[in-house]
Amino acid sequence: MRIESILNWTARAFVIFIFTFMFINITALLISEKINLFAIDSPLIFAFLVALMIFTCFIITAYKEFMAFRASSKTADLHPTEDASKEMFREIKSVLLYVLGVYLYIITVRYLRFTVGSIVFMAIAMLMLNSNSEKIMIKAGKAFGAAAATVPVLYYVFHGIFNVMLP
Amino acid sequence: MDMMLLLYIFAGVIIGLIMGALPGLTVTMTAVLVVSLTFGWDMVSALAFIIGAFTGGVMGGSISAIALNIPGTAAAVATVFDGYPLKLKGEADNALGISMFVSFIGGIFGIIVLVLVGPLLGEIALKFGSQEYFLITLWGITLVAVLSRGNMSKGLISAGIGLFIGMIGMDPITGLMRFTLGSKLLSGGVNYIVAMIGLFGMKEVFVQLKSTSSFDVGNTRYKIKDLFPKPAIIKKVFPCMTWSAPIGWIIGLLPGTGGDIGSLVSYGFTKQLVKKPSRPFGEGAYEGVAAPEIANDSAIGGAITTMLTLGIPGDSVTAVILGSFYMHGLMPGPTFMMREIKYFYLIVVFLIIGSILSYIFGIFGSNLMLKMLKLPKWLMVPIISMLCIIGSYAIQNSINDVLFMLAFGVLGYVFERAGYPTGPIVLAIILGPMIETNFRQALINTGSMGSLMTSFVTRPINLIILVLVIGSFVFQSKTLKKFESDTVESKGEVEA
Repeated sequence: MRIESILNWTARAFVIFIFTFMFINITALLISEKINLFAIDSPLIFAFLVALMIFTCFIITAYKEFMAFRASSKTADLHPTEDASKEMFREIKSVLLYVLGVYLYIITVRYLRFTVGSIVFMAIAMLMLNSNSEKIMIKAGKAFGAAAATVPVLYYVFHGIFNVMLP
Repeated sequence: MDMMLLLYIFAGVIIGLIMGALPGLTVTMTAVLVVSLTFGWDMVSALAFIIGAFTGGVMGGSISAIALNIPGTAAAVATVFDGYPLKLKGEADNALGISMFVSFIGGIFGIIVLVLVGPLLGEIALKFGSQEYFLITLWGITLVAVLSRGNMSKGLISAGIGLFIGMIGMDPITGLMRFTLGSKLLSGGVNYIVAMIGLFGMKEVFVQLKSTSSFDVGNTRYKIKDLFPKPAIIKKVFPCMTWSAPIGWIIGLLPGTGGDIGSLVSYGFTKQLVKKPSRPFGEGAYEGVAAPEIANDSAIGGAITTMLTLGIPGDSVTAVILGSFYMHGLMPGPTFMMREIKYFYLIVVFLIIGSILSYIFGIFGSNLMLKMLKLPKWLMVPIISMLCIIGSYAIQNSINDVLFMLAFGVLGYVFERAGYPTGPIVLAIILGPMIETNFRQALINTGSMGSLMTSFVTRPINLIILVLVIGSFVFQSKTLKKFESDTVESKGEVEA
């Protein structure tokens, strides 16, 4: 399966989950709270209309995409090239790694304290993102230096000046 | 005025100018990050800071449009058509000079008309009932047409998801818990600022991971004295300023349309009306820089008029600003002009000061901003991530909010890559509770769904609003299609 398809199917699965969840939740509330859905004072009428709108638009979108897919399958040149697919795969891999990094930072920052945790997170992120053709030690030095310089500034500006609570 | 307030506007302007100038870091993202930091502040200081960032961000957009051929903001798209060719002809100073001068004039023009029309519109809006309010809020949702960029069903799905997110928690009328799965975490609902930071800020971080190289601005360096307006050039562009400023303001006033549409429409008008431009359009015509730039700044005044008097955002930036007003206890809408008139004039004063400071610092800081464009992305992306994390944590000092923000960022990224616009999600999260409350009140007032539908065509004000809703929906869709094809055409000319 192409990487673009995985993203499209993820989005579709999310939309299906949302309207299914809405319908199930509305039905459960109608039964447990004995609410008349179409009464003028119903607290669920608007939610029901929204779920219906998402469902209808999803069907329209799926139909349009199916027709577009059928049309494009006849013209092979409309498919993305291998290079474009590889490029996208690389992008998604870096996004997933970055998300994982941010998640780890969020759950560990309370133990490491803001300054230490942030310097470690930023230095690793900067090192990972630096695609310059330099020696790894030079890149690591630059990343650590930039992170060590930035975090105290962020701490001072947000905590010291703006009085913002930091994680 | 308190010196501290001036300092807040100044800080906002500087942040706005820098972030507006950096391609990829949109004004919306700037506004979201700035808003999240002001959570614990008093209302007036927060307003000063947010408005400063807003005015600075809009002006900053033209810097990268001229230097890089990439608009820093959507409102600067049309500036690229003639701004970049002017740079290639060695007239980068003139291009930026015109752009900043007319932006300043446009901003001031928009504010003057806001002061004249705002109170009048507020008085009219006071006569509205729940049916009218419902239609007015529905008018705001027509922005989906613009944000969807040609894929309306996907735009409506996004808006539906935004409405769903806005409904999580306690029903405002009956107190019924909806979509919470019995979780205490969800019973208070999802904080819209957290959603905005995730969908506009963190999502952009993920999008920027695509390419980590910095931008090439060449050897461009502005001569400060040449950035001040030259009388001969101003004389040439003056006629197009006279129609572009009102066009921008009127388009900004329409719910759902903002500076991006205003600048494209006025560029198109100017192209039609000016028979003898300083150079052919697309090849560095001064008029081609002046028309869109004055329009996108005067549109701010129009968009703020609608936002303050009707409570409807003109574009995603004003949607964020509207959200920030709610956060600080200000309730823009029909009664705003009656109850909060002092804040109306305070906002006007902040806008004027913000415009003046943006102009001054835009000129004197132009070379510094060019240097900022050279900053490598490996340095910028983690810093922006940290700002998103700090911003989302600062709202309620909760790590859960940061996790929500991260989840919204991932959702925004997946949706954008799959062709679902993320703007309507935020718009619907903000407008959702208002739409629902007014819809249900109107339903109770009229007695049935049939009577409610009939009242839309039998009550004169309702009918007028309904016609305007449908009209602006059609106008936005058609204008967008026309100008998207014009954009492709003009870009082709520039590249050629």
